[in-house]
Amino acid sequence: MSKWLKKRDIILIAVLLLVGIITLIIWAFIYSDKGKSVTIEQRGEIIGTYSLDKDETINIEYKGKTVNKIIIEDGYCYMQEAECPDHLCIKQGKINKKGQTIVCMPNRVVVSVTDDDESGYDSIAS
Amino acid sequence: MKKSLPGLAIFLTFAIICSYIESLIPIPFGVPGMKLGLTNVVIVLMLYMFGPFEAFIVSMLRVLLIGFMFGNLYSIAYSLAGGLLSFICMYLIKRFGKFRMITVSVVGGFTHNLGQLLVAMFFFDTPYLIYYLPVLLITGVVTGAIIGIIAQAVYSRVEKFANSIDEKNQTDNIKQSENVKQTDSKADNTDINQS
Repeated sequence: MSKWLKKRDIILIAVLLLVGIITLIIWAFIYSDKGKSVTIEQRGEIIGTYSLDKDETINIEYKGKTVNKIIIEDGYCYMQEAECPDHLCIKQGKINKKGQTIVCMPNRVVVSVTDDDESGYDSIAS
Repeated sequence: MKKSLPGLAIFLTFAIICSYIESLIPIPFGVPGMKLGLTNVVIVLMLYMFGPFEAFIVSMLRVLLIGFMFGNLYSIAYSLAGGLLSFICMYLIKRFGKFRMITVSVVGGFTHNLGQLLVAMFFFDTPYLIYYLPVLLITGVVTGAIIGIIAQAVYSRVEKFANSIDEKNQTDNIKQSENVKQTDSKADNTDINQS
């Protein structure tokens, strides 16, 4: 065992793990409030803010193609379809807590729950 | 094995194969930037078998090559940031000399995820990504430990072989330098004679 790990190794690994767990606990407190709406950003620009209370389907378009399909349903928001190779954004599941985020890296789409009021950029929504 | 170009090329190939294997493993969790980091086995091994300079060169080359083959410009940027930060931290921890290979790898995994997240936040220009920080830190430690165990297991099997090659090279070098010295002294003698 001593060839693999010594006491100070275990201490350092434990400290790093503890840092992770402490941030996890802090984060659980920070992200405990329910948010009112979701803000959708694409390539650094805000596309719109949509209320979580109203069921809606939002299609994100890029160069004339629908790249992401975001669904708001029963107070939760989730990514239903994505035109990307890894589909990580779909696996990120449903969100409704303030600050929670769905990210689609390849399409550079960020969906985050906020407390902002709904704003009108409804030209893209369908 | 120090400073042999074929050795470096073989390790670069290992790194690329590792990252190809990794791309075949599906990730069950939807966390951006989360991965096993199998390629880091090669970088950790190189730190021990070759030295920091060679490990650094291979680390940067594999990020570029893998990025051009499997990724895009953004994924290159994330990997480059994560790779740089984790390499510097692993090198410092190793140079400190009191920690084992697994710890070096854990520190690498931890700082890799941290650097990647910070650069992703910069590129996306949104602070929201910080939401994934705790998960990424913990997975960084866990995957780092797994990678460290693999690297240590490989290293303890390869160590003797690598050392024997090193010794052979060293004796060769000594012989060569002795030869050079002899010819030098002969040349000196002839110079003196001529004058």
